[in-house]
Amino acid sequence: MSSGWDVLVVDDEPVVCDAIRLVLEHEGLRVAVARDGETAVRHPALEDCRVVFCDLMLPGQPGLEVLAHIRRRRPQLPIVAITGYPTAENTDRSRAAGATTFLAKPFDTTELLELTRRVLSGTAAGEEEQP
Amino acid sequence: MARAFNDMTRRLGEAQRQLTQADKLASIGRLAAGVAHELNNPLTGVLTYASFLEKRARGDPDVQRDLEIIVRETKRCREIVRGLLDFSRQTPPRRQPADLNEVVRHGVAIVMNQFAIDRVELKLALAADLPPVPADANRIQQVVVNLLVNAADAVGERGGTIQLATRTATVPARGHAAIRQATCPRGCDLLDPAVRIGGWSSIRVIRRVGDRDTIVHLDPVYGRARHRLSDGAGTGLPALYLCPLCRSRLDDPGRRCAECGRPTFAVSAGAAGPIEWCTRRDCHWTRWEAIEKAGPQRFAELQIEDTGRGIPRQHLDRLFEPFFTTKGGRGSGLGLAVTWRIVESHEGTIDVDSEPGRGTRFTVRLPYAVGPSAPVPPAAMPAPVPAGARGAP
Repeated sequence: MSSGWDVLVVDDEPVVCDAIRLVLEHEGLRVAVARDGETAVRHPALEDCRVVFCDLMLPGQPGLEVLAHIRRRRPQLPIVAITGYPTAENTDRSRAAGATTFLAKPFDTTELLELTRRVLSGTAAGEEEQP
Repeated sequence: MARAFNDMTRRLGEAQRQLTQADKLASIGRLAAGVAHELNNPLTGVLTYASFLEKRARGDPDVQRDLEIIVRETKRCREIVRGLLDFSRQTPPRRQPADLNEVVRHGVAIVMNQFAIDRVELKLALAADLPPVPADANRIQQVVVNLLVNAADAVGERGGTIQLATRTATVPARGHAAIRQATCPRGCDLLDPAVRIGGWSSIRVIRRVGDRDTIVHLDPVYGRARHRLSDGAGTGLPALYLCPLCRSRLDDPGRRCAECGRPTFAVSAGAAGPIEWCTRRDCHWTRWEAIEKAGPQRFAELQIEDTGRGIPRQHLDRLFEPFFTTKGGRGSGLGLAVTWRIVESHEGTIDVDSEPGRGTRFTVRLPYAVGPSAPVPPAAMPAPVPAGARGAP
């Protein structure tokens, strides 16, 4: 049975989760939220959501570990790493852990929507997004 | 959030005042990175909600205009935060052979829209035969963008011209090579980051005439002689030069100035050997043998020249300091500090010439040969042309 979620957002900041949810739900997507890694990896949305947004700085289990866990569970799932500062170092490490692409905070509605459209249409995989 | 921002800015300012100059840059970097990370989450909230509302307010021009201002100003905050993070980033650049012209074109594409709005005319003169230069293309692009944005700001609302040129330049050591290491015979560090001459730390020594000691800050650019003296006493008198920390003698009565025959004094630049000066104050003789032997060095040169308002002479020496701004409330004071750090991390140099009312020219030079195989030791590199007291030590 379907979980009913299109998107899973993993971020400990309520305002970031709410902002992503507001914008994507307005586009008709169903958005689930997890505030930490432990919750995220147990969340039913992980079974069949179409994209995950995962912050790299999470309380408890580090973002990179959460990302790698999700990648093992869903090898084809687009995963967007959210980062405050996409340096070459942390983009390399998160790519190695399984991130498809990156979203730098703070972002606006257009940036979020365009990125979401790209990952859902499969055009974001393997693209080069240098910091 | 505004209160949090103000509070953090105040804390940053207080911390900045309390720190000793020597630790200042590193500490500001760490603190700034922490503040910047904290601000990213609330800024995400403001930017996303405001831009979402802006899209939905299309039917109400008044509301839409107000929301546009919120979005625009939040994006300005975003740039300041990114500037802080760029400034705090200490990792070495990832250098690969890069086409400087290509990097320039990418940088220009970023600012071109704004230039059209601001009535700024950009003239490009890119050398066709520029060899690839070892550079981190992303960071050098940031240098190009920062300098172009500054040039456009200097040109102001009345419009004007910016010329951007690239070329290969061969530069002699004398007048350009910077001394980045200086020790006394006992190994004391003589570099003084508290007194910078054109961004580089000066070399602090004691000049003794009779029983009177004076502190002298030597120009760290070889052969340029823009030294700073706390007073002008004893021009023609015999002088001794001492380490300000251990008081060991720097002068050597056995070695004589090739021009006036007076004794010389020297500091050690480590692997790049000793640098000598004449002890007579009004004699400009100086010699850095290792650097002279290595000969002129080749650089990929990027020059950005504007017809703007120019920079007052007294500001030139401080231009590259973090939080120094001539733009009042519109600048973060980090653009040129970041630019300086990027260029320095490439073992490159940045010069500025300016004439108030006429315009400013920035010259960035990136060495073609870098690292252990470079013909000139990494300690040696051209440096900015700043203001400062002139005169021999």
